Amino acid sequence: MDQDFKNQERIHEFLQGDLKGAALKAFQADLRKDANLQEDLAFSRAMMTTLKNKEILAANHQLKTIIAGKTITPDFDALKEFEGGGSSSGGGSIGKWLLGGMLGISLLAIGLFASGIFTPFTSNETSNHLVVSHLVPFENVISIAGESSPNLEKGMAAYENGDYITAIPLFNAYLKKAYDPNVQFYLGLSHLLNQESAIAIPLLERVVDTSAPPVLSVAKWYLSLAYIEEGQIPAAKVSLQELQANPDYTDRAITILNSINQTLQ
Amino acid sequence: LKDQQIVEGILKKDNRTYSHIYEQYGPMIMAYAMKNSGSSEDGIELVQVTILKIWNIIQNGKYESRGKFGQFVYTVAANTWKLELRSRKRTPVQALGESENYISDQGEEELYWKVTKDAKLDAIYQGINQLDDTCQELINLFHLEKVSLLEISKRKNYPYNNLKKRIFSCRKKLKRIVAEMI
Repeated sequence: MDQDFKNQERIHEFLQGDLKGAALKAFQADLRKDANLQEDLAFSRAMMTTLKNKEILAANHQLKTIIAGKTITPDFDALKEFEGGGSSSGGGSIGKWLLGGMLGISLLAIGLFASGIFTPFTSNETSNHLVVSHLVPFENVISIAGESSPNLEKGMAAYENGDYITAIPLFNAYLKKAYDPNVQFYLGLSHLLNQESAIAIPLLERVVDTSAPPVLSVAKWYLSLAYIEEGQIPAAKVSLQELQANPDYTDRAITILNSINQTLQ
Repeated sequence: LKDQQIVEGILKKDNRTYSHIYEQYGPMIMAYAMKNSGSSEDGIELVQVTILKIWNIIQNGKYESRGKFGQFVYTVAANTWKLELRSRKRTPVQALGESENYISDQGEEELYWKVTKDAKLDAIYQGINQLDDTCQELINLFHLEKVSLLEISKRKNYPYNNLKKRIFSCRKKLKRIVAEMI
């Protein structure tokens, strides 16, 4: 009983980040050889995850209960209807993008970092993990009015469908006629989402250099993720530190900066 | 069901609405995963993750109806799958038995997949609900809100040493319930 107590307390302190120095080393040494301690730690982590995400767990449990015993089979014909049908904004002609007041980072972009300790990953694994955790497509916020531009319209439709390979040449074709930082943003983001962060970086840097808020902040956010993915940590830190001043980004910028400081230094 | 009915159903946590989304769009989502390097098991998991994401978007008032709920479902599913493929490609699978290397940080993408795949989390969720109110409160205060034992003992007028034992026994009971479930 006493040993169990001690272990619980040590696990609690470990998860809180309160174990330091010799106590931390001793705990890690015990952990390597004690299967019960490993199991207890895994349980505590799972319990913390559950407590922190009760609402999602509740929805998941409800869903699991509802679909239990139901069988679905893939419907490729139904898929075809959607693959070609992603209209970016309801038709009409393309003119100005109204990004200003419409910009709001999607809820999906909010990182839900637990407060645990980062364990020994290599830099590459950690930076990829950090980026994947936070990288989600930015919503299509184009408002179409005025002149028509099939390249942009089709490009945004492809982007919205997650088809970045199709979107990229269409954005490029549009940008050949005239530079538009908003289109350039979606071009850079498409490259980033298509796992081409090295290509995304100069494109997004140009957006940062040529945009005003709020586009500037959105571009900086994705540029920071691209920097991290490419291992350009000092540049990422500068960009994230600048973003902290924007209340929309303060929390997530701090979260990533903390992660960088703990794992990538 | 029309868009508005679906949104209202999700806000009310209505079983029929979940069922409708699952049956109406599940086969299409599953087909998407299988067409893009996924197994049928991946497809089924993608359906669940997509529905959870949609639930979250709607619950948080982030869904703007354009009269194309199906296209919205498709977009969420497609983007989710692309990110998952990206994650699989870049994140090496941890060797079993290295629980000390367990990834303690969870971005939202990872969380959705974990919630869907890990039966233990569902069991713990159910187990917590089966604990008595005092146990639930103590576990919440100590483990989630990180209130110190001393502070809890003051707030609850509970002897410090008994409190430690009580939390310990609550956690032990939870473990037992979970073990019986999985």
